[in-house]
Amino acid sequence: MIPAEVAAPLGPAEVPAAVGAEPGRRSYRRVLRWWPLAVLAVAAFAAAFPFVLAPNLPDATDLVGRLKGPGTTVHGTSYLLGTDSLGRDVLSRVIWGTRISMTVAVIAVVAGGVVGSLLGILAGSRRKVLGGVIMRFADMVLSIPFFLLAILVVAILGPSLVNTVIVLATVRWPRYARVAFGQTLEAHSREFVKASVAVGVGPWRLFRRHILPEVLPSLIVVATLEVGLMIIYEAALSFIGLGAQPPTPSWGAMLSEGQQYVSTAWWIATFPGLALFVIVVSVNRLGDLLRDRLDPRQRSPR
Amino acid sequence: MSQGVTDDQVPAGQDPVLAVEDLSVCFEAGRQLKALSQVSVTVGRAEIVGVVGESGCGKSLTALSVMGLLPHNATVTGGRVVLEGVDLGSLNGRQRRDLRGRRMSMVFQEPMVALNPLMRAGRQVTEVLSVHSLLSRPARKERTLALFREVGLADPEARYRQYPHQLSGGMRQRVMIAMALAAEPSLLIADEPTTALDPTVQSQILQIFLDIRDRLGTSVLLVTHDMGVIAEVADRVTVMYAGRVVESAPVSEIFHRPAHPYTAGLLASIPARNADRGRAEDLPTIPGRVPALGEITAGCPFAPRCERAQTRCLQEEPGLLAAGPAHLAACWYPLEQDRLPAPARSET
Ligand SMILES: Nc1ncnc2c1ncn2[C@@H]1O[C@H](COP(=O)(O)OP(=O)(O)OP(=O)(O)O)[C@@H](O)[C@H]1O
Ligand SMILES: [Mg+2]
Repeated sequence: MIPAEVAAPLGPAEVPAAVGAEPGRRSYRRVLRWWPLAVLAVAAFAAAFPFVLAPNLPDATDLVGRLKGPGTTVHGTSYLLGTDSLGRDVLSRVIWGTRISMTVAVIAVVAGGVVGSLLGILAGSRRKVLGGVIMRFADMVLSIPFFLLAILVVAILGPSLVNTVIVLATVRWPRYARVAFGQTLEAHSREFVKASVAVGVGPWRLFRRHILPEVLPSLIVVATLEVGLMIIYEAALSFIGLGAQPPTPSWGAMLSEGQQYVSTAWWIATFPGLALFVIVVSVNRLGDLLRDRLDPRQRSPR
Repeated sequence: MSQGVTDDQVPAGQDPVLAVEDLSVCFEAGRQLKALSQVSVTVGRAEIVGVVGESGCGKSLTALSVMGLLPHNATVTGGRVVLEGVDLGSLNGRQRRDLRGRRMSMVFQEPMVALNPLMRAGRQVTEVLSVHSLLSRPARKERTLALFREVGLADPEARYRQYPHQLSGGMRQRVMIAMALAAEPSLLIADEPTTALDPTVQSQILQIFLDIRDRLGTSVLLVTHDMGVIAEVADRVTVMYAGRVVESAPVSEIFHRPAHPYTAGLLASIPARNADRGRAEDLPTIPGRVPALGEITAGCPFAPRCERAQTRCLQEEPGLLAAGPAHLAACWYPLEQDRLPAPARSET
């Protein structure tokens, strides 16, 4: 792609070594590494169209078919993953639960991520006073234990999914702010940023053209890892009754209901737990892959 | 600009483009460290002024104070910077930014990292034009291509579309200069613009400065540690040592009649001028090193390294004194003016 005259006339230009096509086996492996994308694509589909995949309604109770094991058929309705104490289909509830988990996690990450990133970039760009104030505030928020703050907010606003999102975003924005702050400082120390300032580029254009592209890769990596964490937090809040309220099919709420029956009806808690596990592992793995891809400087030691 | 103009007494008609007057800068690092101490430099219209000195003597800091781009832990503690009659200290951030690029621009040392790797070369120059809302979109491209030609880039159309990693160091430095010149500033500050380049490219780049000075009347403040670069392009020289100006004179004066022993030492260590001396190890060097910021004590800061130093030099710091026509030197016992200096030689 690089024209030949690059090297002329002023001496050697370093032409980056072209990445040659790998032999078949290696490239096959490389594609397989991205398996989390496949899992998450299925999860995203389930979240978007649960009614397509779910064989039954998530809230439909069947008092005759209560606490039936996986594979039972009651009145011609088969329950692949069994039923819970109200005779609701566990499979359908797990599928609808995907929607709750993903929506809450993604909205919380977007809200916390946008607010935190903007504050962090602002702090990194206005280092003298404003930056100090913002980052001290971030430290303060980070120092409050998560569940303490969650209980406080829920006590004031009442338990609901919307409030769960608010709690999660409120608690997590400092994480993005810290990353954005560090990356912004680094970007400002880059010679080309100084060179742009030296020709009169103002703060807004500097942010759009020069800072954001530098900062974004790390933020994307953090946001991905945070999605996994937010799914866990949502489940945890719902588990202790501060999140989704019955009969909402949240995985955390299902785990909480199911724990009473662990010895007699193991499937009620197991399957939402399994779904939670698979999704969180996939999201985290995707985060690691993205980090290696976008942000090799912060590669995790393995 | 009206609100920025102050009551300075610079005579009309022959205002210097840049006047740095008694500028002092401190770093906040637990305690105050004085990095610049009453530095004065002037640059006249269409004049190329060199600033020389060893590493760490405050050359870059002087350049950055003019641009208003000091590191966040540095503050100006005294003096002022006047650009075309406007005291920069009296301007707010917005007004200052407005001057950057349009009235003064800066070219940095490392062309390898001074361009945004994610932006095409052409775009980086058109950006400067759009920042200052100059020209329409197609006209900006035309102007950029013209600038590329002006700074000696062959095949400007191709360069316009290339990314920095596709350009050589010399080409990148030319793109940098094109960026700096895009909005036609009156003053161009170049901080070691050729240090990272090989010698042939170095003289080609220096030639650009001479060229724009002659054709556009641009003034240049050229920061370097290389007396050879000064000899090639500068009209006047300011020699800095330990955050102070120690000598200031026209180039021919500096080279033929240096008054400060430090300047003489710098001159004696230029390889080309000592070619007849033979092997490089024979080059005289100035013994010792530049004092660190906290170490500067009473007396002349150069005294510990100066073989001419007397008791007075260790007790009282010399101010800038006339050492000839348009020639100032901060030395109690300047080298005699009517004979070629016997520069300080190292013992070995
Ligand atoms: N951000 C900073 N914090 C503290 N001290 C600094 C900082 N930047 C520069 N200094 C100090 O200020 C002094 C002058 O630095 P400056 O960069 O102006 O030197 P210079 O003459 O340009 O040297 P060089 O030839 O190495 O570029 C040095 O002693 C340096 O250590
Ligand atoms: Mg420097």
